[in-house]
Amino acid sequence: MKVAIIDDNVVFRTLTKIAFENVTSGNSDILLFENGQEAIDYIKKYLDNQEEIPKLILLDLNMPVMDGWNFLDEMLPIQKSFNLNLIIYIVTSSSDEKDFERAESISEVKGYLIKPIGINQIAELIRSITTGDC
Amino acid sequence: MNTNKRGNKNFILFIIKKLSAFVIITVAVINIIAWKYSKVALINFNYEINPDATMKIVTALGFLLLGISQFKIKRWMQICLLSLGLLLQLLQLTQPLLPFEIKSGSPITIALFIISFTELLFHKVSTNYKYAIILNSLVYTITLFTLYQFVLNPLDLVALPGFESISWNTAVLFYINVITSSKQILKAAIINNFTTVESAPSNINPFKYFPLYFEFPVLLIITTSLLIHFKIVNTNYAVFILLFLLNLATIASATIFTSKFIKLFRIIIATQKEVRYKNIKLIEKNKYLEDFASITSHNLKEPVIALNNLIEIKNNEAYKNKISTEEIDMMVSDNIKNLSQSIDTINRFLNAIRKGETQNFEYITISKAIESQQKIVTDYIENEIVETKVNLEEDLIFPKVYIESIFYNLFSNAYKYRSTNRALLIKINSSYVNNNYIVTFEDNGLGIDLNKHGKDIFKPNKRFHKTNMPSSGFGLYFTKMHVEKLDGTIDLYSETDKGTLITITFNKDNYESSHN
Repeated sequence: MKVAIIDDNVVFRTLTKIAFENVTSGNSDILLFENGQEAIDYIKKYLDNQEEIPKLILLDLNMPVMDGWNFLDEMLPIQKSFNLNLIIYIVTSSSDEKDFERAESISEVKGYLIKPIGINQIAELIRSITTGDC
Repeated sequence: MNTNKRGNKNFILFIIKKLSAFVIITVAVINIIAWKYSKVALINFNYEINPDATMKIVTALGFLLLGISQFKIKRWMQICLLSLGLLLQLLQLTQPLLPFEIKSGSPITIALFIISFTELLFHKVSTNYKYAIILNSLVYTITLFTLYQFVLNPLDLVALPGFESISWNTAVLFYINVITSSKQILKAAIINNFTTVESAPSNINPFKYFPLYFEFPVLLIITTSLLIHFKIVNTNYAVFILLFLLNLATIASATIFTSKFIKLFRIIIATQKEVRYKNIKLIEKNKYLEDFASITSHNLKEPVIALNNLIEIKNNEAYKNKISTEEIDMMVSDNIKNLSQSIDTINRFLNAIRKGETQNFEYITISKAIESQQKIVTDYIENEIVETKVNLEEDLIFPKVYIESIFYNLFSNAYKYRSTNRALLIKINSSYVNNNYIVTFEDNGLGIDLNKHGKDIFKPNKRFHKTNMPSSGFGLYFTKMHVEKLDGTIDLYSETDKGTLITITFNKDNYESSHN
């Protein structure tokens, strides 16, 4: 399964990557992006080869260059017109009520997780997503 | 000696303030005595024309009650006195039913008494002044009519139904009473309104502006009455004195009151303006503090969470071998750097908000700020050629703290986000357009994609470029903050890989009022 982790913090990217590899015993393809723009550029590049496009996206909100909201603004129309069926989870350190409400109003966002998230929690999340998906 | 003088002064003031009450009571008592000793003719003006026009005992009693109620006594006592007075007048209406005979006042006297007592009772029990003032005006109009008729046309007055037996004394006392009670009502209304306004400066109480308005007519009518009574002046002159001086007093009072009112209104407008301005600034500051709180929590939270996670990895057997110690160490030092940068940002944020809170500003010209700030940021550039063209139509002065911060941020942005394909060119202009002083800052750098970032351009914690330069994500946010502190507005136009144009607009009126 192809997964994209979009987060500007290298620790969270590394941690999530290791957790994924652990849970799926190496059976996952993980893409790491430092901000929304990098992810958008990647996805746009592979629109005619959807095999390469990640199914699951773990998205941070606060990032330089392009933040999580701007990523969603740009991604959602693309996902609609290309039927990408992305599963998007927001993983952020923001516990702001406004951010949470905004995320809830977007139907494509399947979950909102507030950091700190421990290794075990990440593993739990991955298990629930992957089993639900299969 | 001194206290004695003050005591005398206070006593005189008290007499003047309560003059009408004293006069009303004295005249009433004199009338009662006159009836007792049958000297009524002596003290009633125009008695020779109309012997019926005398102040009756019951009328004198009515005035006595009115006079006493004007003194500072308990409210319930005032209400008792006024009710008693009203009852006394109503009793006269039931004259035919009474077993004994009273020498009643004239119908118009009874009517005026009933209206006056009702008016004052209204005033004592209700805070709605409207009805009391309406009744007061009614008494005033009738009384003034009677007075003028008395001196101009006494025979016509006698022929008027209801006015046949009203005496000059009665009319004068009604006049004095009506003026005094209107003063009481207005004063209570004004004081009531002004004390509800918390901390309203006492000097804007409009009542202070026209004390003569009430005292002068009372004094005038007493003097004139005495002059007529002792035949010092002819009634014709008395009419002239009354008409002329009363009108003069009215005009003078109106003039004084109007000018004072305009002054008061100016104070109110200025205060209102100031309050509105302070409110805007307060809202602004609140917004910054809110941003500050969210930035603080976010920027500190991120690296701390990351460090916690790293410790977790280190302690977890399953993960330990997946990642090298060097990598972990690198990430730890990376996040510690983030943490210290965040703390630095928070400090800068706090300084930016607090900047210029002390009111003693040092002012410098724009050109000075440009010169000093450009020197500071040259660190970003090594051996690169930078061309700066400055063209100021007028070199205005601004508070140093703000204008320096603005140019520091503008220069450091231009330097950090310059294009590697061309030499950096910065153009700074200032000019007057309509009523505005406009400063523009233009560079030929990387530019910002406004379609993507337009709405976030002045928001905190936003970075629009990936750069190796230290970037806080607050440059434009602080710039806008400090432009707003100078009551200016800021706009940004940009095209990717062409450059950025920033315009800062200061309203000329705002500028002038804040620099005076």
